[in-house]
Amino acid sequence: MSDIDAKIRRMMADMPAAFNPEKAEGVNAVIQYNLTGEGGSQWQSRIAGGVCTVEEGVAENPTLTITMDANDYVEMMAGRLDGMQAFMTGKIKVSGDIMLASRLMTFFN
Amino acid sequence: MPIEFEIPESVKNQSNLTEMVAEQVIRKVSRYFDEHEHERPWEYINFIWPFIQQMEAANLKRSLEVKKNGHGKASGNGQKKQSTFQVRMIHMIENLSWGDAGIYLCTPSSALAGAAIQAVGTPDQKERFLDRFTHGKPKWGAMAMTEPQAGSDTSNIQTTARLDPETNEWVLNGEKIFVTNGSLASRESEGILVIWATLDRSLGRAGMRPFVVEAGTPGMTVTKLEEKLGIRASDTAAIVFQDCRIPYDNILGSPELKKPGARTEKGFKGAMKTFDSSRPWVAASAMGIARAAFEFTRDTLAAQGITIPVDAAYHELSAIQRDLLDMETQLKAGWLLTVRSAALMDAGQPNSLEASMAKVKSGQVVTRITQKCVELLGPLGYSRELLVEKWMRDAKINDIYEGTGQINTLIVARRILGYTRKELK
Ligand SMILES: Cc1cc2nc3c(=O)[nH]c(=O)nc-3n(C[C@H](O)[C@H](O)[C@H](O)COP(=O)(O)OP(=O)(O)OC[C@H]3O[C@@H](n4cnc5c(N)ncnc54)[C@H](O)[C@@H]3O)c2cc1C
Repeated sequence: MSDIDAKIRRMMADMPAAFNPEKAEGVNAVIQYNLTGEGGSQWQSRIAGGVCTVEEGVAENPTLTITMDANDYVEMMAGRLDGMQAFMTGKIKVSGDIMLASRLMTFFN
Repeated sequence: MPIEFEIPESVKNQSNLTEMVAEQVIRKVSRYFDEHEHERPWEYINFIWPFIQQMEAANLKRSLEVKKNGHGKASGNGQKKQSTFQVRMIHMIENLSWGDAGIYLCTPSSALAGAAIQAVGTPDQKERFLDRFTHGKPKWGAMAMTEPQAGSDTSNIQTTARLDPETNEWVLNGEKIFVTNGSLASRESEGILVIWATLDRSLGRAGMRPFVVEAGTPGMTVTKLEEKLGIRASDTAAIVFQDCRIPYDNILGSPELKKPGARTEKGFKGAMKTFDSSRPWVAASAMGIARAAFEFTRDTLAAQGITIPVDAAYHELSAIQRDLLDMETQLKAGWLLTVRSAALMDAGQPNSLEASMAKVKSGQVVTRITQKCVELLGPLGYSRELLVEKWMRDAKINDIYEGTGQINTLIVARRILGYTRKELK
């Protein structure tokens, strides 16, 4: 298992606890993460009723799909890659509810 | 040297963002804001503003560095670093206008005011007026040249700027009409306006200068919001200046005047450089609308079985197929001229001729393509259920502002034939 893969698994596992339901009031969404390249994997996260759950795999009708390089994702979550910059330089590709994408980071502590 | 048609990777990547925004944020509210002319597309504005702040900050920083280190030179090693700013801008604008040209015009940014300040402002003026676009709430910049008696004939501008020696302030009096983002810049945000006024009417163009007026300055009043044919989401205002006082340092360029007949004052000429960037921007917006209409029409016809066999001989094609081919050719021609005018500017080379060429061509192309699309799609094209009729209405403005098609054709002719403004008008 590569280093990146292990980090991503840990980050995904930590996601529900870091979720702040107050910041995401009324949000009902399925978010698909496609993390590509070395150490990449696919995850689906559900936000509904003030709870966030995460599991590995591909969701059927995601509200939002985020596609990015696995290493970039790790760097972004670690605060070493600016999310905005990543957006502007095409490192993050999203489809679906792009407005949700811009708010997503604020949902987590 | 081979002709390079490749768009740099960094530019392509950045235009992914505006592609997504156009598709997923702008398009879906396109009709709504066409029907609610004076409402603002806040969802788009708030979404795009953080990105614009970053671009404004980078642009301001670079222009202040260029001033220190000499044009286009990267600090330190003295090697020339080619800018891609204008090429990135036209890609952004083309994408956003594909989404909706009126909503694109609502983008919070220093816009034409920024271009004027970048063209002739001192480093101090750039800091004072452009820093606000790098933080805080969304803000707009606007440029006001046109008056009831002065549209194409800018030498007829009647708005006056008089120096009050006692307070060391300029006093502006006059009326500006059809100011894009005029209300947003002057009273709905802490924006700025660049106002063209004359210091001495008898000197014609040589007496004219641009002045920066900050939002909320007493004596500046929005008197009317236009109701328009197209780009209805865009804010278009009339503004009256009545003893509107601004600091002495808000003049762009030198306040010194030359006698008529003498070489045109540098301040005025410098400020006209704004058009070297704004015309490619308008051309890019036109091309975005044209592409939207063309793609929609091509795909709709394809779904009905009408495709273009590109290898077929001309006489084997139906009239509709010929029309589609012609439209695609025109689209490419307009876009290539636009890219060229922007790339020249990035390379620090003169581009006034090319900017006018791109503007003329794309204004014609977008008008023709959108009308043709309405025609080819029949009832679908004319119905308000689809956006095709709207694109036709949105198209025409590109043939009007920043110099009409006729005026830009005159500029091209003068430049190619070597005539002066007096000799060919
Ligand atoms: C929606 C909208 C937004 C605008 N935004 C701005 C803005 O932000 N700032 C700003 O300053 N202005 C703005 N304008 C004004 C725009 O730049 C002018 O409308 C334009 O310059 C033409 O001026 P005019 O309307 O007075 O037409 P006129 O100058 O009266 O021209 C009428 C017609 O005569 C033709 N014509 C004029 N002179 C000649 C000539 N010498 N040779 C051949 N043909 C000629 C023109 O091409 C045109 O077809 C805006 C206009 C609109 C409609």
